[in-house]
Amino acid sequence: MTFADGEVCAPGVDFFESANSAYSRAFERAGAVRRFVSVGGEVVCLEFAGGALVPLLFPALSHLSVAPVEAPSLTVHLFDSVSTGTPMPPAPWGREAYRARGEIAGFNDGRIRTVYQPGADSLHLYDRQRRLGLYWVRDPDDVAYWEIGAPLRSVFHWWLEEGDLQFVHGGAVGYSTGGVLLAGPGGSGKSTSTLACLDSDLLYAGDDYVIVSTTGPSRVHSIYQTAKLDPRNLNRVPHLKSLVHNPDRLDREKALIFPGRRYADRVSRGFPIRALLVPRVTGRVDTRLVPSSPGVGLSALAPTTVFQLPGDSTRIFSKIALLVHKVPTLVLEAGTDLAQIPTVVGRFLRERA
Amino acid sequence: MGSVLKPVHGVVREAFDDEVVIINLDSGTYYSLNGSGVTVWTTIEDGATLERIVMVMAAHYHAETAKIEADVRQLIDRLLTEQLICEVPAGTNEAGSVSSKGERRQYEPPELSVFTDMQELLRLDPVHDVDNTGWPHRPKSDAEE
Repeated sequence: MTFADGEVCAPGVDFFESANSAYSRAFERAGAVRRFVSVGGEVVCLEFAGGALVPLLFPALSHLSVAPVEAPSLTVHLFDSVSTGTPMPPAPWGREAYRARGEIAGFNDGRIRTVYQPGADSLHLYDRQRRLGLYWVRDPDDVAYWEIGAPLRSVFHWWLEEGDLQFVHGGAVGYSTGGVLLAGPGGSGKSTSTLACLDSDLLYAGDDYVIVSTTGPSRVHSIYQTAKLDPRNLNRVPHLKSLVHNPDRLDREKALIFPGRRYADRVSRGFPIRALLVPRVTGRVDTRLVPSSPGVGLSALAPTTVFQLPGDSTRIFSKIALLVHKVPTLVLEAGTDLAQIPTVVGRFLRERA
Repeated sequence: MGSVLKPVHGVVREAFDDEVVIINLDSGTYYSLNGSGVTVWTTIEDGATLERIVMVMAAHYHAETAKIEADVRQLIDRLLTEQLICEVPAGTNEAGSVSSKGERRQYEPPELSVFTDMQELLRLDPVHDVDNTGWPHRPKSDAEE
């Protein structure tokens, strides 16, 4: 879905104002809890009406905490109806308006973005003109586990859309002097490879999503400290089992892991990108890095990002293509001896420091 | 003069020296086009007839023209089937001559790899019935405990 810059549709603006008014009522009834985080070098204010959503949606971002500022680059209003006693006005669209990724037809334009995630029962709004986002869920008990792991993904993505930063589906590990981006679809070994590096001297900037700069020096910025792992692979990283957030629901959910709860000193806000690694599970014991082509890197990084994020897919693709032209792509042939992964990656980075 | 072939709207792509990565934003399918397929695609980018494509290929690769044409036709058929390119009526005559920059390369038939693992991300989540708050809500039996 693409939009002409400046094009505005009245229903989107009207609904945003209506929703934000509901937030204001929730704020007055339940009070506000504010948290400030640094995202991509910019300060974001998360303003929760009442405190019920804080323990659900803030932990994934807590490693980015900064002191309050007067004029944040982005403000997001968050509330739920059950704990604040404040309903959201009914949706002004019908069932036929729902599109892929929850985008609501007729309520997305050059200024306003509107997504309702049917699978998560959560509403996400963004006013580009005011750099104001809004998140609503009816009941905190409804917050989906993937939203606990990657809160406000749509809002952050919309906010970053205009600039050179880009949300990508990928992980990142490295040193403060430089690291690697790991990319690949589910089942490629990305998460297992990323998490295998936690018990090493490598820093960790994320597993599921990170933010990358696409122009100028290539850099990765952490956004979520969480990792999602296929439960069948938990036995390969037994030292992380105690960090699983949802151990009683692994029959229907991926394991949601908060590395910062044990490895706080290893969770990084970001570093320069030296290479893009595309993990491949080989079945062999040993791990090695094999130079590859930018096309392999783009195939690993772009589709899984483009199809998970709402908005201008063409622009997302173009920004990612800029990145793969700038950094080398290598295949990480991941062996069964997971301890070799951080050793091989660390050696690669030290040779390029 | 045959029809002109060109990429369809809704297809994003990036060409590298030895590969073109293509994503069909409507279907969720993505592709890798390798080897001589890069030359075919870059020729199609600005619109080209089959004849033009074959001429360009013959100028760039060591192979019999008949072999190149057969392979190009096969690739074109696949690209049309995958809805990555379309045919439009030829307008003015295409530029006649084609020259190869540098020596002709050894020919390998173009290879198109198709990946469909992202398609499910475009499937619509079921939209549940609207409850008394005016919002779709998963039934309690479906909701996470």
